[in-house]
Amino acid sequence: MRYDVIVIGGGLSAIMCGIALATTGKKVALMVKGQSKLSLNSGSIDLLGFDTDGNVVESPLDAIDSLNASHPYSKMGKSNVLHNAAMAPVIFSGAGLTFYGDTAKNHYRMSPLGLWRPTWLTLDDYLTTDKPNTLPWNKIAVVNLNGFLDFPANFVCESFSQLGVECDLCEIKLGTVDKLTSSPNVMRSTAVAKLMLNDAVLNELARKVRSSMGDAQLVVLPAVFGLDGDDNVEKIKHHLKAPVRFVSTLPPSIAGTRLLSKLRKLFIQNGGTFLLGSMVKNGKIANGRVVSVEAKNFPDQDIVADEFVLATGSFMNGGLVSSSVGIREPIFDLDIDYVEGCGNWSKEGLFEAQPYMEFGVKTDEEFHAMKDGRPIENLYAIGSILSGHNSLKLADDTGVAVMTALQVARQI
Amino acid sequence: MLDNNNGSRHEYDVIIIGGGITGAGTARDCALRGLKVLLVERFDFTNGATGRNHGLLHSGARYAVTDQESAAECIGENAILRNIARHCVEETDGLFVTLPEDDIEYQATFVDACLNAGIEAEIIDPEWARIIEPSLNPMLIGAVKVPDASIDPFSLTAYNLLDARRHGAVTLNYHEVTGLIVENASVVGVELLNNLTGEKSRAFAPVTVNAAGIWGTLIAKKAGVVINMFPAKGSLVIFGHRVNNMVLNRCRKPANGDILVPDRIVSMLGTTSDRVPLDEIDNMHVTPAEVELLVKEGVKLVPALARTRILRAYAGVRPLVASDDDPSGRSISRGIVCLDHKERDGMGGFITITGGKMMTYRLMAEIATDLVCKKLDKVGACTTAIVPLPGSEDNSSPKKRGNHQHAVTMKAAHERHGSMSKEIKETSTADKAMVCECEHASVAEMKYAIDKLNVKNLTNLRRRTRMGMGSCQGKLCACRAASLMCKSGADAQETLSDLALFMNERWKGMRPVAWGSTLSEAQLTTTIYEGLCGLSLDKTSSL
Repeated sequence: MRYDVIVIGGGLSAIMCGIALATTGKKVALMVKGQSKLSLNSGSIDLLGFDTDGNVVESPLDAIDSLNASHPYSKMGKSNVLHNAAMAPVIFSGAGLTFYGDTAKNHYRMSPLGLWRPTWLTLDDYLTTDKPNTLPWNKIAVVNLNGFLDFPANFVCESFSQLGVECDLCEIKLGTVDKLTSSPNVMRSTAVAKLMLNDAVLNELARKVRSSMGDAQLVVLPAVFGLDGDDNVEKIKHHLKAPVRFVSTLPPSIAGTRLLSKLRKLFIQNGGTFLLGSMVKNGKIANGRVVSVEAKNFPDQDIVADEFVLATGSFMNGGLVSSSVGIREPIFDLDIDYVEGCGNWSKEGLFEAQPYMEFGVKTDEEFHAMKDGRPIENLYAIGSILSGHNSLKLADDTGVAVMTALQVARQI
Repeated sequence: MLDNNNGSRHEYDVIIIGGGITGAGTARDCALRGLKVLLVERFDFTNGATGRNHGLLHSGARYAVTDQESAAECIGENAILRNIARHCVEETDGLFVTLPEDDIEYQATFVDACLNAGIEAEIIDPEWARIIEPSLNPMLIGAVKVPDASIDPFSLTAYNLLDARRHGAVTLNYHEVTGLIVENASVVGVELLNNLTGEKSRAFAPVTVNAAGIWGTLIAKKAGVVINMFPAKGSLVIFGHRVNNMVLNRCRKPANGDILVPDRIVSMLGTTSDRVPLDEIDNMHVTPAEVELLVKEGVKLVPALARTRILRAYAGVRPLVASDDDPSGRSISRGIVCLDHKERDGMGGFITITGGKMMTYRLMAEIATDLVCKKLDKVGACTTAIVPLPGSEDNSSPKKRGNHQHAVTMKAAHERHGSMSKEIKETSTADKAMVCECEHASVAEMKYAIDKLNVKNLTNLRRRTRMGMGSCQGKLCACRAASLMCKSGADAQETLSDLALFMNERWKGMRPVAWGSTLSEAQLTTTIYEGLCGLSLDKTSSL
């Protein structure tokens, strides 16, 4: 098998890089192992939510100057961040994704626990606000489905009540759901989202919400709509005859599924290839270049390309592998930025800045991955596998994924 | 309970300090004998050594060679607990395994000692041992089968307390003893601080029992009584799934890392034993060196442990007591120590029950209660060896009750609560939803625990239902349970803080083993709670 570019990975950075390359006419293949971090997506793309001191960032572009030199944004430089930040929404809208948000100014999304988090772009049917201290509604109806435990609606309600907004929690019991599910143990977000594709269920939900929402100015629903296109999103909005906003649930994330399916479609439209279930085992390197990779599902086949992009994620995705003695990148055995001694990888408090969050593959300024102290000229690293920033503390995970993906695509 | 200086101020017959298994067992025994009981615990029940051991129902074989008295106590209690606490016990049996590096001669000594102590010990063919316990090191050269088993310390404590309450006892968690009230050289009551509300109160009784484990030395000090205790830290490692069917021991003198106990869905490897200073007992940390030592030894017994994910590591502190004639601590007893401070120190109305082990808690409770009765001039026979705990009244298997009951959650609830699981009412579709997939705990079980088992926060709920104890360590179930706490009337803001504390506590046990898949899991957990949900300890990420 031969391609112009092989992208190893199937998450947000891989697919964005794939699309950007495919639209320039490159023959691109994504080698996808399994699920990505998109299944934890909130419905938003964060560019930079907090600065290095933990303060909320009002304008991500202004705050980029204050980041450490090791941060991927610092590596590509502010002008490139600006360029890529302008390019990303074009790709999203090409995929049929409508986002709310502005590069000059962060807004806030509501988390499943009812906490407001600064972000850059949010799917336009998700609940956001520009000013989390003063909401434009006086009365809100928060809806949950009886038995659906992965939308902690009490906390969402509490959040509104704290701001003096009158909030009714409507627990809706659906007869149609009882008929369709033999066991409540399947009441997870994806299963509920599948139920919502059924018109009878959707109609019953809408009818019951309408009868219990009173004069609420806004209906907040768990984000279990839009699993298969936007049809049922439009339908529920239409049926409820009131403004509707979604709040993300506990994983798996339907927003992630929506993003991924639309971006995939765009990638394929542009001639891209998905090699699903591809567990890349190793890569052949000669004269400072990757020649080919080998995958478990294509035994004894060398998969050859001119350029390779590594987007395999961090520890939780298997892009980085740790043992008590050290940290490795399992495919190419690349150089890793980390500190020696597993006792130094973490801090005592779960919510402290964990050093391991900054570990990752070493790259040069152009994101060439390094091996034995030298950059590999046709291997790039993008997304969560990169070192040099704490994506939980800075709220920049999806931003780094998108920015580095587009940056590397342009360089290729 | 409150201060009442005139007239009859003895609200209780006996005050028991400590909500571990010893205190819980003593409260039950006293209550069954008709005494008015108050039990106080400064944090949650099972917070100390009770919640930080193997969960091993010793046959006594481990002590047979070195301590015949302890061994005999163990096998006696072993038979009793299999009957009265059957819903807390999993009858696994145990093997004492000789590896090529061990002295096979020891096996004969071991078997003789077991038989002497009344412990059935049967030498079996190593080949047969591999068949009944496939996880074993195939190189083994000897195996002895003994009646070891696995026991759930959380259920055991919860149901001793529940039975005490049924017989009129008052059991208060989060009530710390800040002082002992001494009058005319007798302890007549305790000063209490409610650690949740900051409220202070006093309670009075003619007898106070100090059952605070290693913390008992500090309690005694409040009455000016010196008990020479030697805190011994024991570290354990929990593996992410159940590797072995039977309790596995090395057939040699007890040493580090030579017991592997199956505990429902996981396996626990222990232990180490190191003296620690008394001022560190509230802050036990497992070190990477201890983990390495345990795993190195454990792998010899069960090679698969080398490839098994470590879930977490934790340490408990054994309350070892030096005998009174040896203040240096060289001759330390692991046996039961019951001190009548009137005779020993001239301090009336005060008893300390300590030493021993979880295995002999009932016997310790019996000894302490006998002394309490003697002091109160009450006659009452101990019935705890015969009367089953709530949940163990019958040994029937769970029956399907109604259409809403689910086989899997029902079975799990029955394992945790025995016949008391009939109190768990799955009356609606929503009630039968599974909160914790690892431990198969339903909404109805959470509601039952919140309602009946002194649950004030998520950690309490975890100890009563095992929610969040499985391989995912609370990844989604903690959030679901927090939501249920709110529905049961808890304040939403406080519950969010509690959720952050709960996840932080889970991390504490993961951190000593934070590499490999444990590190990956920790990253996934923080990505969900901090990244997606915006949770933090001080909620600075909320606005």
